[in-house]
Amino acid sequence: MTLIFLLYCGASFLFMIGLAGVAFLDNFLKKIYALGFMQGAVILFFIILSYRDGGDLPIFDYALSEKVIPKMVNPIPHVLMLTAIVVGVALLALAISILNNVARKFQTLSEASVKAQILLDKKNIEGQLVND
Amino acid sequence: MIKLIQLILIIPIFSAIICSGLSYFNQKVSKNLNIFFAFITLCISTFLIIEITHSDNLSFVFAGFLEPFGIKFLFSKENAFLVLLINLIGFLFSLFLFDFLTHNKHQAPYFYALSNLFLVANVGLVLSQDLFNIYVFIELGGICSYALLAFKGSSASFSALRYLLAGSVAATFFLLGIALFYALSGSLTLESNLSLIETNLSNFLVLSASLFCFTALLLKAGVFPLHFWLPVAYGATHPLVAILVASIATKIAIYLLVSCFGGVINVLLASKFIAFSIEAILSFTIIYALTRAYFEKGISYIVAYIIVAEIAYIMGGIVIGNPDSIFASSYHLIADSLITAFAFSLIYLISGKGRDVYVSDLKGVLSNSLIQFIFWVYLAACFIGLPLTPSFITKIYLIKGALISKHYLFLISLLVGSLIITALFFRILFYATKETTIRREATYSNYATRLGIYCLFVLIIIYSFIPSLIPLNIFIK
Repeated sequence: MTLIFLLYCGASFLFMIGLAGVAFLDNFLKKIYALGFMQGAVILFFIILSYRDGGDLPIFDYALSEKVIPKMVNPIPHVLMLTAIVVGVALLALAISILNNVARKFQTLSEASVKAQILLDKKNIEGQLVND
Repeated sequence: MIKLIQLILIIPIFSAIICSGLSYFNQKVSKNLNIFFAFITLCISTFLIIEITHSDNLSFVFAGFLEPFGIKFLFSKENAFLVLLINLIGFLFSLFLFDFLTHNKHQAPYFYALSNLFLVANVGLVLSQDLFNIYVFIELGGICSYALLAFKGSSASFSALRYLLAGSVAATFFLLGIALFYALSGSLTLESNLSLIETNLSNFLVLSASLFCFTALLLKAGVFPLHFWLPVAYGATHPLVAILVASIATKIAIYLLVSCFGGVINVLLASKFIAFSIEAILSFTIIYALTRAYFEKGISYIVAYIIVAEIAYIMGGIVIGNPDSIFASSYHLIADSLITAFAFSLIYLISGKGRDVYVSDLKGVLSNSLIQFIFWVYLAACFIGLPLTPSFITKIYLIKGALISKHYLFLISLLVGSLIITALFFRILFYATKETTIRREATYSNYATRLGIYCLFVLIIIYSFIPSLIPLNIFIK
């Protein structure tokens, strides 16, 4: 098993943990953390893709002979992932601000509790409509 | 001509910055500027459509970098009408915003920025020919829609948060698909990856990459069973926000799904068992969504569940696969967008200050106002699929396509669905024509809002008369 294979396995494992967390956890804040895990796993996957065994920094040195082009790591995934990280941070900030609103209104971070409160309010309102 | 395509993307960004900044100093100027910029973008889109009917596709690369390093934007006969649709909805939304912000001045910067960036993101999604660029636009459009949907607070924040989590998972899946495509092809351009999908879909890695992207777009489009976020997100939000988000977001996702990853659909449909299963799922979706709509009491929730069924109509037309049904899907993509915007604009008119609107709230509204009665009856006709509505043409072509291809299950679900929705709107309109002595809250219906609603009404009628103008090939790939 090479190092690259193990790194790919690690990224996949992180992705699965994140996906399971978003799907099955009840606490919204933990779901947001799990989302961060997923995004981190994909970013890691891209970085591993760019790796070249024995590769150097992707900075071309004009001092070297023109015939010798050194092996370099691929810089493009790194650049793309800078954008993805920024987008992820913006998303995280928005998620937490919306969660703040939810927590203030419902006094809980639990998805099941919030859902139950909303359903109860809806039933009360619809019950009043029937009475009207 | 190329510069005009750039302007379609740049003007809304400019509008987002200028109008949101200016709204702190002068509300009137910022409101008028927002409408002006939206109108200019609409005019440019219309002009480009006229140009493209006489010439080849228009494309440009930002900063002159050629592919595969540069990002290409392509304005073609397939996506031209979608760009026009997005800018049209954007312009009409700016009209609705004009009156709304008179009474909600402190919300102005928020709405100008988010709505304009949402429009840019969706136009970019349609025009972009680079996979990573499409991902960035998906995230940008997503962030704007989550924030807009959460605006009303309370249960709207909860549903927006659920949509945020689901949408972000979808975007992450899409990014993973991009990673696999990049590893396989060494390129991020749509052209090279689409040719990879067409030639090598039997390859496990190509299929995995395609399925990741396909699943992501299925969730964004709200196709059953990944529609769980849609009814609560669109039902709980402010009707004004739903006019913009509900009419555009899912339609653009469907366009991307079919035009970029239609090869995956072909592979899935190659197996008779899978093809039948997909047909059964779509048929079930139509009956399930419309039945849920029938038992809902909130009008926004009713319309949201109808949207789920409409998405199933569009996907059903693609799955059936013959020219008539594909035409129906292309035609209905735009029709449903206009009808959804019209529906939520009527709800907005009744909702007062954005409170939830129930069927019982319609009591007396329609018996007191002839115009509103006509609008609601026409909306009902649009959803049922009566003549003189775009849905009539859609259903005729879908039924014809289903009969020719012998997709009888889908055909039956179409007919049963029409019956359910007829019963639903009979119930609503019957209740709405009763008299009441209850005083209604004042609405924000000034001339701009009314102009927006009248424009939508006229556009839908015109659209039902000109199906031949719509290119058959929105989904040709």
